[in-house]
Amino acid sequence: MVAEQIPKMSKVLVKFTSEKLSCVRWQPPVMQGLQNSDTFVTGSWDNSVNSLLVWKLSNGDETSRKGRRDPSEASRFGDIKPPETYVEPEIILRESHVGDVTDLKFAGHQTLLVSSSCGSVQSFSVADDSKKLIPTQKWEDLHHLKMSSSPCTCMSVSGTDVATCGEDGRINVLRLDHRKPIRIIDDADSCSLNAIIHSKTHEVITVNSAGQLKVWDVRQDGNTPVRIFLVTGKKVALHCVDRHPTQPHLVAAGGEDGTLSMWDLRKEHLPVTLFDSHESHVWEVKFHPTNPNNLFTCSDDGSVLHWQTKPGLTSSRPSTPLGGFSTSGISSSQSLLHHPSAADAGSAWISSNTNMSNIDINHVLPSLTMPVNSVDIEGSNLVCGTDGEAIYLVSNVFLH
Amino acid sequence: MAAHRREVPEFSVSCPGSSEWYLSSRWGQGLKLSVFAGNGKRRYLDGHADTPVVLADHPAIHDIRWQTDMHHAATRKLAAQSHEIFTSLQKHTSDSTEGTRKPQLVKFSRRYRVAMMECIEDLRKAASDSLVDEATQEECDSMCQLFQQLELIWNLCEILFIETLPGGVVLQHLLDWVKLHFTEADSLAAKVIEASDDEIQVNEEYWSAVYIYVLQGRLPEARHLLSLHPDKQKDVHGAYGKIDELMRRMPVFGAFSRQTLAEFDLKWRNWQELCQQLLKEGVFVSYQRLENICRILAGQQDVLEQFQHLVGDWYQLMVTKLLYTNPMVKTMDLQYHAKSCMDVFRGSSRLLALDQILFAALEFDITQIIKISSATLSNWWFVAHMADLLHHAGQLESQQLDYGATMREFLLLEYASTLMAEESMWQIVIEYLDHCPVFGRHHLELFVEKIPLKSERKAYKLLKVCEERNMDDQAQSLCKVMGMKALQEERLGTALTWCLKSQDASFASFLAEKFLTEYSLKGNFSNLDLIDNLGSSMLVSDRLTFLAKYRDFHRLYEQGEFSEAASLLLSLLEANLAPKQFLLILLTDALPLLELDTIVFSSKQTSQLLMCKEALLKWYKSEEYTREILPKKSKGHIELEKEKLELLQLGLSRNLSRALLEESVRN
Amino acid sequence: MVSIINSIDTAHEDMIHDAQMDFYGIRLATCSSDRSVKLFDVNNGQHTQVADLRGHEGPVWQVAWAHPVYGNILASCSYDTKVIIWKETNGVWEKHYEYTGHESSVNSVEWAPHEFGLVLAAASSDGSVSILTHKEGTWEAQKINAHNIGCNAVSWAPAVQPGSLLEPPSTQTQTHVKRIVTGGCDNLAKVWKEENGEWQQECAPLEAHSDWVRDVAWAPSIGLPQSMIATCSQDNRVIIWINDESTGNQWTPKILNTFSDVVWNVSWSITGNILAVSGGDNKVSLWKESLEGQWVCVSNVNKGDGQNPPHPTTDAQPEQ
Repeated sequence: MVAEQIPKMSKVLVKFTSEKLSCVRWQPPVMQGLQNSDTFVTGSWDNSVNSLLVWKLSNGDETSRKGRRDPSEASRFGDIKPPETYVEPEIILRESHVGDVTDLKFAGHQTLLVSSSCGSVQSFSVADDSKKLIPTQKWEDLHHLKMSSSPCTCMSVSGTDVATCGEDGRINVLRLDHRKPIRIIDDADSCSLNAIIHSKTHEVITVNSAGQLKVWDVRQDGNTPVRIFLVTGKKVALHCVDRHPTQPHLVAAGGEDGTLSMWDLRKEHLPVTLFDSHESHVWEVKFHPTNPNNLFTCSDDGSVLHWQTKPGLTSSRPSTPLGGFSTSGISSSQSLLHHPSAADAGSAWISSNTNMSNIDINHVLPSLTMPVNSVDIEGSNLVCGTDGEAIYLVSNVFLH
Repeated sequence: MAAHRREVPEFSVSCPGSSEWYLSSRWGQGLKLSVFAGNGKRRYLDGHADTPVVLADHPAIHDIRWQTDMHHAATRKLAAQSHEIFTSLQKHTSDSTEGTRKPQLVKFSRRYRVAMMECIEDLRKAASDSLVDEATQEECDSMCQLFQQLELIWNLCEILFIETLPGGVVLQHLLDWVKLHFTEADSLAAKVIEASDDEIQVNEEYWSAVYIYVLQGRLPEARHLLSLHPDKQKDVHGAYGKIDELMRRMPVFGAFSRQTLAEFDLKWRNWQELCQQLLKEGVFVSYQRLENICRILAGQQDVLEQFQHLVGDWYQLMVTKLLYTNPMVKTMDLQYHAKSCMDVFRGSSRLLALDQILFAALEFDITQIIKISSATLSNWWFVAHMADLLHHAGQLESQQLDYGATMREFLLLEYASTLMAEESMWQIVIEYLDHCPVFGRHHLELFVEKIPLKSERKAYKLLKVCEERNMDDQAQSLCKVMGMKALQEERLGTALTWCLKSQDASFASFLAEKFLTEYSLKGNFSNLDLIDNLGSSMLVSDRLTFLAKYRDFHRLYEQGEFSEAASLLLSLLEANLAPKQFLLILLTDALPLLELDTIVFSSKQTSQLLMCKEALLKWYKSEEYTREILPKKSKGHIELEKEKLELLQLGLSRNLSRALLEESVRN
Repeated sequence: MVSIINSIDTAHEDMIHDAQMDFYGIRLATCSSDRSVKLFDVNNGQHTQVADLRGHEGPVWQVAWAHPVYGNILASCSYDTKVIIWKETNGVWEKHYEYTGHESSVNSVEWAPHEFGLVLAAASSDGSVSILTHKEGTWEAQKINAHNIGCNAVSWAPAVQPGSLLEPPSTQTQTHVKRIVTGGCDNLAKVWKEENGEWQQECAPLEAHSDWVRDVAWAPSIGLPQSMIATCSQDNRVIIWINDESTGNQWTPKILNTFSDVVWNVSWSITGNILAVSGGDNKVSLWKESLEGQWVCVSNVNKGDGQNPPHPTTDAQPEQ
């Protein structure tokens, strides 16, 4: 049901890393919204010793590329010549890491948080040139079972507070300058908690392996959530969650069966829309931070999808099969004519669960066989990390 | 494959102790062994089993791996990259038709080579990395050389077996091959040019560069260098101009030019006659160097011998010779030319593995290429991918090997085995095994079971691998292991989610019973978030259904919906879903309902409850109960139970009379 | 290229007789003449001792890990005639069951494939083999009089029937028949199968060795329509026995090699295509069947003198 064509304007760059990548994150630029970030961080998993890599985009040109390699190479393979102008990501720092890197989050421009499958979270201060990570704080054993440690699966940052969740079903709230968690919810969940996100300053949303989405007020005592939402009657594990940047009641979650569910937290406890476009586990879902009509998902099936609500279209438009309109050209011309208000755009995600014609879905990458574990978007640059031991950098992603 | 030809690799492990202690070993995943020394059984045979031996050191166990050449950071990158190429090649050939396949295969072959060249580059960097120790540097250096050789062989195989050659004319490709891999002239020329200020420094290096360019047929480069010669400006005899003109006019048979072979042949003869003529006329008599060049162009053999040191090796000599004597040579004839050139360079001395492999390629003997490569290069990456590519090009079959496909599979399995020991490469291993039609499946089953499940995410990924391939047994056992792990950590909810994934009824019952026991001990439920939302998954097992329904009863009761609660309770008692030990708890749950002001159990329902109570009493007298359960109960417990039963009897009889009364009033 | 990942100091006070990695290769069990069984966590090249199990009163010959679907369970057997089953509960390893049904040294223990449940086979110098089955919380023992004089080794057949080349195994109807092979001091190896709860010899003894059979190993099913057993003996030989599906219950011997000394152990790699042989010649040699159907030695591990660090002596060299 997804258009196979990759928009021509995008450029895909591949870099192999010798490690399976579990997580990729752009470092927010100093002046958010005014400039684009040129730095991102990746974390690996499943090795005996894993690593954190800091990458920087450098504007390479043909001559520097030639200098790096054998001079006759450029003429060797006429058909696979690199594009004439390109941005090349280069590794500027490598740090080893104990356990799998399970999540990476930035708190502001300078603080990097890394969570581990050993149950710990570590914070680093990123040097101005990004060439150094200075460890600032380590919270050991945040997530643990009776006899052993348990992976911390996800983190969410709100100001200086960091909420973490883990396979042990526990929620911790950390404050950056506090050595001890400021709030611990033991047995928050009977099952593993796979992802967490702040919806308000004191409110977090978690998703678990039994297909439940829960809303928590971390100021309340006890271990009962404010509300529980379900995907379906079946136990479909939810792996990831994100909320709409401007309309916090709008929440997207990805499941083990490849579905993307959208909830309106003000309404029913069942998702308003269910999209069935991936063939397997959706590992991460991400609204574009400044362009929330765009959403990205990556999956174990090796694909990264770009979802966008169609501007200017109302649900009165007769529905056509999904494959029928995939070219971004048409949509873009329409976006010039109509300027939908933010409210309209938000509601497009949840307008109807049967009429998917309001959403365009496109592949961002050529089809891969290896799982894509993580995706992040900054401006029009998208980066993702795979079990094929590579990062894919897509520049000029077309956004509405 | 040909392993018997291979010198058996030997290595030593240091194990202190008497020489009588034999070495013993245990397998790990892939090519991994734990070895240790001991001779216990022998001592026991000799009757010394009970006399302890005093040891100087504690005995040690050594973990060893071999064929780890693809585990290094640089080669691992190649493994991941070539995996991507490999899988898209398999997909491509199953999708495409015969006609479109071949040109595509050339692209795949080149992608492999690009990956190899990146790997060579990375290894070169690693070999000169001052941060690593000398041994690692040496290792990288030798791997770098190995991959350079492999790339040289691959390129030749690509030309001979994959490339489409118009009219079977191969020379242009061979020239490219030489140019690509032997770049001495470029570095010499660069050095000369760099060292010169205004005027070029004409020295031996300068002329070597010029000669090598000519020998390699790279005439534009040779002309460029010559044009820099200071004499060129004051070219009184016009010798420089003439040689330049000759070189400019050398006909080239290109794949894309429209000329026929016959046309080219005519042009070629004319041109070479011109070369001969100029030599005869003595145009270059006072220019020894230029005369040498002209003699090369004219295809004179003796001059090549003179320049043997610049030619390089026999295969380069072959290409040079062919260029200036037989430019239209067909691939099938290459072996004869190869042989004579090899005699020049090797004579009677020992052939290197590389010589043998290249020669086998020129002889079109694929089996031999693969055999010698497997036997001598100690690298399975190359043979596995090469054999696969040749298989897709239809070359293995055309060799009429009865085990053509088997050979490919054999090599792919060998390659996959070398990756198994590196734990994190399991996904790559699996995809190679997928493409081994005969043995892959069984290897996969044995391999997959032993992959450590360190996190749930990994378990999910592995489960998907099993499900996609209908490996039900492995999927089942994976879920069970995850469930057991959670159970040991007393994470019953997590255990239940894993159990539900595999629809494991007996495990579900076991867990449901755990929940019930927990309830009967503590008087309240844990994991309510899960139990309350079981939905249709409760149907996996009777016990789980009971658990969910029993929870429903509690909820109804808490919500004050007493009569619904009462009928649910009764149906639970009658449906026989509950464990026997739980019956009393259920009956006790009826007590508060019986004591309500309003009557919730009808007379009929009350009689049914009475019957349930009788059934329980009967069970208490059964042999099963008195033998198995009674001994485990404390005296106080038994007393308490007795009390409850009495209360129940009282409540039931009172309710029965109340209900009968009310029912008669109503009627 | 060969590399030593790490060397583990076992801290045993006497020589070790067995070292077994658990199912996933992350935990190591060792046993020794010092009568103890030790468990180590092996992670990231680090190893930490997690338990020191005391309970045997003689040298402990062998240890065996049960499949993880049954939790963390280990069996050990000893010269003291006992078999002990150890279990981890709440992070603590304890003796779970002790079997004292043998009259002489118990030389070998092996768990059945997990499809059969929690079932253990133990071979003893008293000539018998015990099959211990876990049923509803208790252990039931069955005894087979396997070899007069003494039984040295026992090995289970895989739970899957030898694979057909055409169908993937999971689509085949599986009749899980329990089978074992035993090796004894009567120079024989014998194949047994369970039928209606009774253990019986399935076919004529495998007769080809001229001295005690020291070890037996039933190969994992690798997709050929045949079963394979490796045996090794005091007579310095290793024999591969092949039972072809088409020929019925016929085990055909093929001498792998005659070594220069007694051969003590044979074991198949996890995917079943390489056989490791170790013996009195102070070597571990690895054997593999070539495409042409020949068994060839693909590698040798030698015992060093203990002075020099372990190193690869040669790698394959180009040859004429």
